[in-house]
Amino acid sequence: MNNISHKVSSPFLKPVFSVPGVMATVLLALLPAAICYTWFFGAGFLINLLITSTLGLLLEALVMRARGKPVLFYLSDLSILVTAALLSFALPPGSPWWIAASGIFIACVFGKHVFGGLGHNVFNPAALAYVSLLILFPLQMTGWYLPGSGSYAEAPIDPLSADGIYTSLQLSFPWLRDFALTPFPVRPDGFATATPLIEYKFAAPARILMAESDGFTLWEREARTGWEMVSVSFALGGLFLLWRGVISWHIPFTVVVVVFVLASLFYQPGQEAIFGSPWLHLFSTSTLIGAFFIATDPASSPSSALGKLIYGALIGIAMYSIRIWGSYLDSVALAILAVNMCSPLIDQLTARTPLGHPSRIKRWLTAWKKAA
Amino acid sequence: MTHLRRSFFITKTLKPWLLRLTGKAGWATTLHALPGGIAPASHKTLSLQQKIIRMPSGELGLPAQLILPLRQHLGPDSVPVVSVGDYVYKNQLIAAANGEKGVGLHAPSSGYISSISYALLPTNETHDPERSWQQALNRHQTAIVIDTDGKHAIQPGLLAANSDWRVRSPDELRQAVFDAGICGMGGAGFPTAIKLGASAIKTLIINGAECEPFITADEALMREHAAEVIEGALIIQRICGAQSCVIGIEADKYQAIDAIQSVINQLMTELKPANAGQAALSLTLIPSIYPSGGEKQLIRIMTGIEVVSGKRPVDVGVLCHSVATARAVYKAVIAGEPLTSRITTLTGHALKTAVNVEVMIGTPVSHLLDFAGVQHAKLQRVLVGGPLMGYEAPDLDTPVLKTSNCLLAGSERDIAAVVTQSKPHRDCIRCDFCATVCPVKLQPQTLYFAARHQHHDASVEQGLFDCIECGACAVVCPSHIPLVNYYREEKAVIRTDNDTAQQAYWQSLFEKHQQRLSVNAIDQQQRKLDKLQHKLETIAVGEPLTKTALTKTPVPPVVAPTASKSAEQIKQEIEAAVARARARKAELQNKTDATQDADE
Repeated sequence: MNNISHKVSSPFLKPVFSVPGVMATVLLALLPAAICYTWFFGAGFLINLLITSTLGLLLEALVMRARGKPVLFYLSDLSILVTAALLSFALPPGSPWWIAASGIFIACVFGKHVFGGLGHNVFNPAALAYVSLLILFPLQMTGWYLPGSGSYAEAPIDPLSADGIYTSLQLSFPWLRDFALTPFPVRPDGFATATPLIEYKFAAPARILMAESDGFTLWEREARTGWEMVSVSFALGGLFLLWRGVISWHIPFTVVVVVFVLASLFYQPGQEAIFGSPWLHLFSTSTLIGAFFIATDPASSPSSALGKLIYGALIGIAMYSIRIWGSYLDSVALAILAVNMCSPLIDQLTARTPLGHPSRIKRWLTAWKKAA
Repeated sequence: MTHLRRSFFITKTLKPWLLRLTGKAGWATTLHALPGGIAPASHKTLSLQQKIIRMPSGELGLPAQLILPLRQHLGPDSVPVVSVGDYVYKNQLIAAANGEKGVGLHAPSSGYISSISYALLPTNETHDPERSWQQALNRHQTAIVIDTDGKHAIQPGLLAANSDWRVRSPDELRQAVFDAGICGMGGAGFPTAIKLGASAIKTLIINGAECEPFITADEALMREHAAEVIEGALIIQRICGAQSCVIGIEADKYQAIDAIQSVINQLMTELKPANAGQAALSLTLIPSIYPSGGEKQLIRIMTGIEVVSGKRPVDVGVLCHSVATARAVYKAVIAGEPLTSRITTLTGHALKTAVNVEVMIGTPVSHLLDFAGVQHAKLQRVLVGGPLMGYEAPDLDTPVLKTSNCLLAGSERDIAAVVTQSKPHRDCIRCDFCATVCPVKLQPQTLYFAARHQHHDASVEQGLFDCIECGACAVVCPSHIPLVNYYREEKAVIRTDNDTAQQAYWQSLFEKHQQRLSVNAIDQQQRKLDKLQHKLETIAVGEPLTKTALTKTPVPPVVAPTASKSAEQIKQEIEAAVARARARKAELQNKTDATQDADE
């Protein structure tokens, strides 16, 4: 417990920020993306969010009880809700309920509390849970079952109509199908397979191009183009966080710039299927949620400005490299996890020099001379 | 949530540029940015509605008692030169400076000395259960108490120094400052005369940047006594031999800026033909960010010089004095008046009237609060100093010191300690807000871990002692960690551990204890010998041996316990015991001698 033993002394000014306030701001910033996501991909996201949030709160309470800490005090920091929301964005809507449940279990227990709880985690819990799920349940994590995809000309359902919601429920809780009068024919949706964090190389972008050539625009409700709008809403949420001063510009800026520069360098017109266009790298993948929401997790990122720039650049490079040259399905979460591991070292090497102390270069030079 | 950051942008960037564009006088061509800083709501208009009220006057009477602590400055305590029952006049020396580094103390008003060893409550907040006994030693503070007689009588025959200061030598002027018992009035209370003795000063900075919320003492002083401040600054400049003198004022103190600027203009026109170059006096406006008024921070903003860690500004040829000190110097040199009063802000939403008062040093806080109409229902706590760097008054008898620039009777909305002893704070989430506001470019979050777990080496390496305890980090911390408390505690622990004088003291106590123990052991052996001797004598006489042979009480006749042993055997045993006791005693004595020799 953080009870202080001494008498309180200055400053006596009321604090400006609070942890629940910061977390609530992040949740608020995720709101447009959540609306957009539901609009395009159906109620599956909301079901996942409900499962991860309730189970997350329950797990957090249990773990806190087991650790002998005041449960309500620690629940009220809302951090588990942020983790639950980020994880829900990463999960395929329409995946069975136990995917979401095991995801939040991994995030809460192995991502957060084995390291000592909020602020002590080495990895971002949501990214860790997502990558674990990808390894544990590759089939369920790469198959997307969407009620209202344009690919099913035979049975197009509006994802937010009663039928669509019922179908989503059936997808999440398979036993519901036993009671259903008209069971939904479960077949994987070939088009929507490659969406959010699962990029499946460039299957999705190719479909988007196809959809656009078919005459769809970005504003139409069409699962094939939906992810671009979700990306834009993530960027909006990120800008909101920047404006509220909750995150600093260093990490998102460098991630986006590095990915954009690399994508431009390797871009060859006509070869989108191999390297992808810069636009595609930014908006048709999960780069933006990674840059604004996952990489900026304060606990697992370095603290100095220089450290943040290095960290962001490394994430950008790793993201692009895994996406283009790697053989793995996902790039963003893996890149962030990999660079999370470097963050303590970056922190140590880029520690700020207090005013009046010799600069970092001077210190290195003296150490060099001493060694020589 | 971000009102702080937005207003920070406005004050840090926008407002200075606007002022510069509108041609407000006095902007220096280059200002150096202060890293970090915050811009909390200033609440300064509260206490600037009225003019300064002097004491004693019709509105504000003399207190019945003046409590004058012997330690109001950095350095050795002053030494009382009066005794209980003496009558003292106003401005009379009551406690002399303890050597060159000390500061004298003068009576603010006439009256009888009622005590010279009044024990003050400690204001030191740090408390470590394991070391409280060490800290208790540091805390012990005494004060002289004067029962005022209301006459406010000046000692007959005291002459004011009336000769022109421009013809007096710097040493003479410095002596006048020393005699007046002046110490830095901005907060730390460093003896002014020592600071003025520094050589090779290039720039003199007069600190009028009163950056902390609520405090307006310096601003009111500059509004109403601008000429005295400037004159004092010129005297200081003459004493230290600085080539230029710059007055730094926060850009939003419009009236103070106008007052100072008009005095400077007037002075320049007077001096122009003769020696304009000599008095290179200028005014610089600085952005109003907290803590721009810290000594090293102000130097950094105005000159760009980074004072090397562990050194003082005078080491780089810059001298910094507050405007209040400048005025005290003026009064000491021109009028020969010692430092017995200062301007203090009485403010806070728990008061009916917030006002600046020119108050006598030693006035109890309660007297001033009564004058300002304190509403006890609203009163949360009384702070001496501002909400960011002040300390809580231990009780309402706490006197106003030479360094007290503000008394803040705070209501719930003014001041609040979110974390108390009974309420925990959250864990650090490493959000880095603290690092972005730190004016010294520390990394408060890593320093917090080092300080909290008492990793002394790591704390010092990360610049614990560069921390100016401004409190900006704690204000923005979303986990509400009382960061400054942890740093202060760690500093106190390291200081106590490194205090060689204190270590020597405890070592001497320990050695005395050991010596006492060894002396006791020798005595014990001696007593044993005596006892055995007595037994031998008893046997020689032929009396039966009893356990109570040495006692003088009448012994009831008992059967001789020597049935199984002959008298000869007993004698032998006793002689063996005597030999053992002698050997032991000799051994102990040798040991003691040896250690004493080693000590010598």
